[in-house]
Amino acid sequence: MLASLRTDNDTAVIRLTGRFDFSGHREFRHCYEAALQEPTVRKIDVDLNAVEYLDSSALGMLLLLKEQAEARSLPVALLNCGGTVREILDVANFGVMFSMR
Amino acid sequence: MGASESAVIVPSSEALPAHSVLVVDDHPQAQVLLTRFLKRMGYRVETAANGLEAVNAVARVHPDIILMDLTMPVMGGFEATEQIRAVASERWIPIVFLSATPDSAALIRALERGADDYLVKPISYTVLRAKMRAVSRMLAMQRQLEDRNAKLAAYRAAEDEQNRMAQHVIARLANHGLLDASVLQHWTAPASFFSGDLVVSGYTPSGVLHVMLADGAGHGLAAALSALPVTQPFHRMTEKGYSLASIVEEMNGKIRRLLPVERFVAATLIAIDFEEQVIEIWNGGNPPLAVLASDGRVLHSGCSMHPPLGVAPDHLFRSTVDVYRYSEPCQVVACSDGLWEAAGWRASGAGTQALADVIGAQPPEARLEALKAHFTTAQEGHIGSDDATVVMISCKPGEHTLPIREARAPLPSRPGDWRMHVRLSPAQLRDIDVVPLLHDMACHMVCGGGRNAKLYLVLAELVSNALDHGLLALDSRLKLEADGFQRYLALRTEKLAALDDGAVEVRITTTDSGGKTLLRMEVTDTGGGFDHRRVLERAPDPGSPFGRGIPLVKRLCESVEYRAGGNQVEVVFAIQEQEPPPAGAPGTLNDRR
Repeated sequence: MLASLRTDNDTAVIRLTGRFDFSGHREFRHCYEAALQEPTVRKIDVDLNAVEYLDSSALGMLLLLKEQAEARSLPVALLNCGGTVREILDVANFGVMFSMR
Repeated sequence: MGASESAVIVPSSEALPAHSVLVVDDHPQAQVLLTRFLKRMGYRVETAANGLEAVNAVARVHPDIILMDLTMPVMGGFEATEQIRAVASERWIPIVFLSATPDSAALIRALERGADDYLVKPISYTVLRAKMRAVSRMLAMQRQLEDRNAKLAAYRAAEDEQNRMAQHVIARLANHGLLDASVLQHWTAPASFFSGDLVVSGYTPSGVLHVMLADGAGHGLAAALSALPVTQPFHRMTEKGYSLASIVEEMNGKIRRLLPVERFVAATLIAIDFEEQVIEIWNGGNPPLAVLASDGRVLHSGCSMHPPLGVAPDHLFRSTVDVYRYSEPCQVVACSDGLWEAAGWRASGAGTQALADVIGAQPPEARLEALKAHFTTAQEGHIGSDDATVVMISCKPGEHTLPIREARAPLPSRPGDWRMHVRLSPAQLRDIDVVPLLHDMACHMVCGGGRNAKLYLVLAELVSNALDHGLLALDSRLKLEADGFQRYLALRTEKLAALDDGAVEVRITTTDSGGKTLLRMEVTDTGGGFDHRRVLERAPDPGSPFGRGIPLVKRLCESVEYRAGGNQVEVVFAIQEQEPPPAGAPGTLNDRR
């Protein structure tokens, strides 16, 4: 999995590509820790458009990000969840925890 | 391996370890010169005058490096090398041959017969110095590797031992309370040594079957550990008669308190009231549960309606259950994600149809085998496997006989006079599982704890009558209509939420009478009452979806008396000394008819 970080004004966008599973743990954490360090960032978006699949450890990583972001009062949103990714997020009812756009 | 230790072996070029060298040469002068030279380089030196002495010295002094002359009396260098290699096979000892014959055929022969290097006599001390340094460097690396291998092997052995222990404990905890195969069948294919999937089951005091299929995120030991904390509240609260909603709420809180934030447990909880023919489902993060008819039709899909246990904080957690009432023989099929994913089924109702297409044509008792076979085929060539589990429960209207189990060990009765009076206002009636609390308290007072299934049933009937028909003024005849049961429950939920006035009062007093403890229980509600004479005199109709409650209470109690306008009832219940149930047909749920 590839993870990249882009900051647009007050929004940090973490863009993920490929299979989002435990092997992507380091890259993902590296990205969101960088995002959390940015003083101008007011919210974090995770763009899942190019993610083919995610597993339960990926769901766990999203919860980790949410917890750390909320400790700094930053909302986290999931963007472009479609197809298989949407189905996995729906089974886990992550709509309760994250706003999805 | 310690984290501080570098993964790459880097031998120091200068300070080489003080290796010991065995010099094997039959010429005393050569021995002396070599010894002196090597000692100056920092080596410890032992000597031997021929091959046989060398073999003995190896066993005695364990040299790190051997310099071996080829031609010696008693035993030559080749034979000595072969013997040394045979004796010290587990440790690599570099052997450097010294020979006066400088041709390449001799060099090749020496290397083939176990030499690691070769020096031609007369020896150049510059070459010897360089060679010794090179051999020492290699040796240092070799020793480091051997050390690490030994450590790894030790870690591996310790881990195997711990795994065996953990597997034993987890298997005992996970399988505690599983039912016999006539009611419940289950099958698990773990992806690794441990399964992160867990199936547990048990009966409430009133004979409602509770089953849980839990799937800890990931697989292996971490997943198995994640799923374990839910077993204890499941069993404890099921035994006390708590509802599915109360149990999942407790579990969610427990997982959140115990596990790190990124760990959670997908779970399907199923409650089957065989008497009322009602299936309750709470599915958080598992594939849809299927209720299949005997002919394979999908009667109901219990899709995931909640996040897995441990994800939602209390204020976002919902314990709402999905309710299905069956009216024909059917089979509940619940699977974990591993199976669904291997099969490539959708997470929606389309998935349960796909499941039905695969196993529905089989008779119910053959469906587990059919599903196993399908999984095994689908699993071939599937990468990234996960634990896969299936649970199947058969439900047959009117045929079910479940033992009402009493406390495992008879408890001494605790005679004496006590009373309690509880007044429950709408807030308590809405938010608290009242019956298990009352039952628990009464049992503690009367007999020092344990359970009394009949007492539980009586309390449950009286309290639910007072609430449903008294305070909420619900009419059971609604259940006769199509989808009536679901509508009845929906209306009940709605009216209970809106209830802001009224109360249910429970009074319990005890008396001892001829060695028996009698509980006098009075339940009063502030509702409008009902025509109790008509209900008490009516013969129960086994086919009706309601109307069994009061006849059941009459059967279990010494006396039942309705007072006022039907909104006050007093019963006398005798606590039986614990008696073994008669062989063959113990007190069964059919008693309720």
